[in-house]
Amino acid sequence: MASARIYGWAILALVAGLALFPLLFLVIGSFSTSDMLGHVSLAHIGLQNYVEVFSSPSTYKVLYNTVIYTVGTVVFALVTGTFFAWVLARTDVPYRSFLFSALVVSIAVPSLLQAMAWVFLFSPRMGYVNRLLMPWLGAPLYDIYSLPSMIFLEGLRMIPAVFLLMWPLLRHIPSSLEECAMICGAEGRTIFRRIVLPLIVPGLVGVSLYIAITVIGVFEIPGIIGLPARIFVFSTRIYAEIFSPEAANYGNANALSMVLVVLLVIGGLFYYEIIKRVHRFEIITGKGYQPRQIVLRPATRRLLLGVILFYLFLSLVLPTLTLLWTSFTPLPMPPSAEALKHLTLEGWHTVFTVPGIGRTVVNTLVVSVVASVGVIALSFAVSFILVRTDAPFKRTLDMLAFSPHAVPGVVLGISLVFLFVYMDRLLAFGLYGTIWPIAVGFIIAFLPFGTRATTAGLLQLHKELEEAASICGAARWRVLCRISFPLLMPTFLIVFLWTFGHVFRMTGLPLMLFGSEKSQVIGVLLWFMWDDSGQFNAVSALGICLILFLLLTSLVLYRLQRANAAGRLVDA
Amino acid sequence: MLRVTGLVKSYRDQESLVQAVKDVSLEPATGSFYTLLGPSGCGKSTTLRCIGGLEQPDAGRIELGGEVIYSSAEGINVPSHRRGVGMVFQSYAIWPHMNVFDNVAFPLVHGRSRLPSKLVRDKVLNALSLVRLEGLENRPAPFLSGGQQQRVALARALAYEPAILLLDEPLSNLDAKLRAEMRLELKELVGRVGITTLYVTHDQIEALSMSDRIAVMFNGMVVQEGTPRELYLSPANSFVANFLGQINIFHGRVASVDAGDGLLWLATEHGRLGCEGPGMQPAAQVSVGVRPEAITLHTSRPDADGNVIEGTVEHAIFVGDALEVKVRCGTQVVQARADALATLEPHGTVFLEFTHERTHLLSLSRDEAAPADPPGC
Repeated sequence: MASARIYGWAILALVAGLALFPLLFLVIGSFSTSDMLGHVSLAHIGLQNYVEVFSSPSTYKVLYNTVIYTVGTVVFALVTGTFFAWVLARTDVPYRSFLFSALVVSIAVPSLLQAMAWVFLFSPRMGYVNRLLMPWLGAPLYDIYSLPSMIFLEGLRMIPAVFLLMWPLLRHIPSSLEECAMICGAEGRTIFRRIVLPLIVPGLVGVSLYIAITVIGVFEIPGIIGLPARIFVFSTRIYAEIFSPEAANYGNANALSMVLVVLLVIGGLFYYEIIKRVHRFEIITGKGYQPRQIVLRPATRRLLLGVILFYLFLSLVLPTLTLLWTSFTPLPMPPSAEALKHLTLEGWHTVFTVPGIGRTVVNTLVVSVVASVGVIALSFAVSFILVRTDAPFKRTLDMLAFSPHAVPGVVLGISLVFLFVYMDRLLAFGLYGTIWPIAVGFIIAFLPFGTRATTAGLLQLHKELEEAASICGAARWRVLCRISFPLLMPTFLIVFLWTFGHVFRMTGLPLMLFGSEKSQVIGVLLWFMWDDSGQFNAVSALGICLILFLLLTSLVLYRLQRANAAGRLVDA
Repeated sequence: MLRVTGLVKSYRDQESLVQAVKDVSLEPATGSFYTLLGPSGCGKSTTLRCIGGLEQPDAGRIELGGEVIYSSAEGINVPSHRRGVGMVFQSYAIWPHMNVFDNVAFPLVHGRSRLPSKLVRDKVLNALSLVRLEGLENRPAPFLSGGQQQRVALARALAYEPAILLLDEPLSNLDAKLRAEMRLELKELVGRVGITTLYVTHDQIEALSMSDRIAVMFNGMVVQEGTPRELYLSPANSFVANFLGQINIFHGRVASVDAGDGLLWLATEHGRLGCEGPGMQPAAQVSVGVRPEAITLHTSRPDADGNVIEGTVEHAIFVGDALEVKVRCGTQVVQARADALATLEPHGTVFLEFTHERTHLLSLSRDEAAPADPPGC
């Protein structure tokens, strides 16, 4: 029992270290006025960074952009995603199961590639659509480099997430509640306003905060679409401070990050409170309810099917086809009979011969695997304490494990730069500039997701299954290896694939930690190829490879989740 | 064999401390079937889990087979995997990722004594035939019915010949018919194996029909301990009396003590009632209990030695094998059973007769500590 207590405190210390240490260095960095990275001394401490940040009018413009960008994206994604969830959960629209899996799998297209594809389509000069219509219109149809485009593209990426979060909520409203209102003489609209809406409002608020927290920190779409037009949001502004043509200004980047973190912590606390309230509503979402299905008129059914298919076209098919076409062109050119004659394999050739490509792929694989395994191990350790022990610090541990959710990749990257540079100075590990800080960063970043998943899995695993093994004479580690781990394997696999698939594509965090080719990963390579060299066909070819790979992992993930859900039904 | 002394266990439930087990001592005889009976939340399962080592008690001492497995005074707490007990859980806890054979073989392969595979096979097949599951050893666990899972759990608990068998409400997840069958079978099976069995249940029929001895628990304490017959026929208080079956309770004062035949006479609102009991101070407040089946109904005043109460019929409900009759006697409604063929006029006068031996004196001090009706179970 004493060893169990030591274990509990050790995990608490580890999680607190991972969650708080980077933030501590972020705070120190934001007050440090030294020009030398990772150099901290009392002589170089001051408010100078904050003064600079708050006295610059551009900061307020960034704040304004970030707010518009976030609110716009949340509204667009929430309305559309919830509508899709309602259609698939409550109506008899055809091909529901195909549409469901397609929406889930569409997550596979990384934001970065989606943004690039839309640049190929709608950039004012080279955009294919603009160029094809130029003879008739005389001017570009649409300029992609604008705030509304960023909102539209980010919204497209967030719709599946909203859909996945809202679907169970809408699905599990017991139809008896609606039927009862109907018997009482209420009409369809009244039922929706008085019964359905109040039931899903806590969920809606929770989901919108979750999406908002995610969107405030994203880097990819603002990076591709916003940076060229100098439309900055916080994440891209921080990037620009560091990758500026003059000297990198880590102090300002830290101060800006602090402002962002404060905003996010407020949002995160709101979210944490609301989630607790949403769970109260879960009492009504017991199993075995067959939700009321709305029978649509044939015309409406076709219309709704068309709308969802159109979304899938915009978010999955169009970007993929655009990249595929571009990968075979010598220079970006719209499809035409003329263009067909110029098609070339040059881009695909470049991808496989780009210097350091092998190293990059290996780096990405290693980082993804290490991060995913790390997330599983740490998440399980945390969940085990939360679910199976009566440690007095459970609430603290839960909040600590959840807190990285409020730290965007770019900010986490910055804070880890400072932490690792400082550590190297102190202990001479030479870790900065290798892939290990990136792996640590991703473990921190995905800990909130991992803990949620393993906690849910462990709650499903009846305590008596482990106790029975213990009674049978199996020592603690044998119980874990023979009973707990095999039974939790589906959960572990889902955490692994989800983390793996996301780490594999991320650009923001590893870009901040980029030291040399030694630590380059695919997300960073794509970014640099796009930014520096303009090898658009090679970027597209690499993008196609990435999409195919991610499609495969998300398909496997989807299958596993289905099998897992079915397995739970057998248990119950 | 097993000796539990002064067991105490409390839980932290948010801020408040809940005392689940207050001061429990048990000593089941070797080879006996011993039952902990009580409503949910009375601490019976917690006591069992403390013996299995699944919960750490706050204080007390547990000995098993002459060895101390827990002692707060000596700081001993043998972990559950080294206690050598067998246990069947309420949920059966059959591991769904293994087949029947692997489930039963687990304690022999991964337990304290690792046996050669030949011996494991013999012991598993032996255990399976004991619970009449021959031929099912290759079936995956998710394909077992509730009754079969229960048998696998039993086979697994017996396969490694543990010192004691702990059963935590093993029949509560079965349907009524299967439960009745398994009661007999389980009792017969553990009798054949000859293992000391500690059984936890909230079902008084299970407890009465299966046990050698029963400890009735309430509120973290053992309220009464004895054989099923003792508990049913001379309950110590109205809680035990109520928990083991229907009972009518009459309140009164001691009127006189008959030195000749040792009868205690009470003055009640229904007149003088006699019961067998120890000598008590005259005028002391007491209660007596009478079970419905001990009451004989007459339409005219009987000429009998026993107690007789007069009343009027409120309801007579035909339940097949009998008439369940509610009789109003003054301020009180008395439950009785009459022959199924009897005809009782509603509002007609009846006389309730019951012998002195079936009139049980209930201790009053304990009555105040325990509610008259067992809480929902």
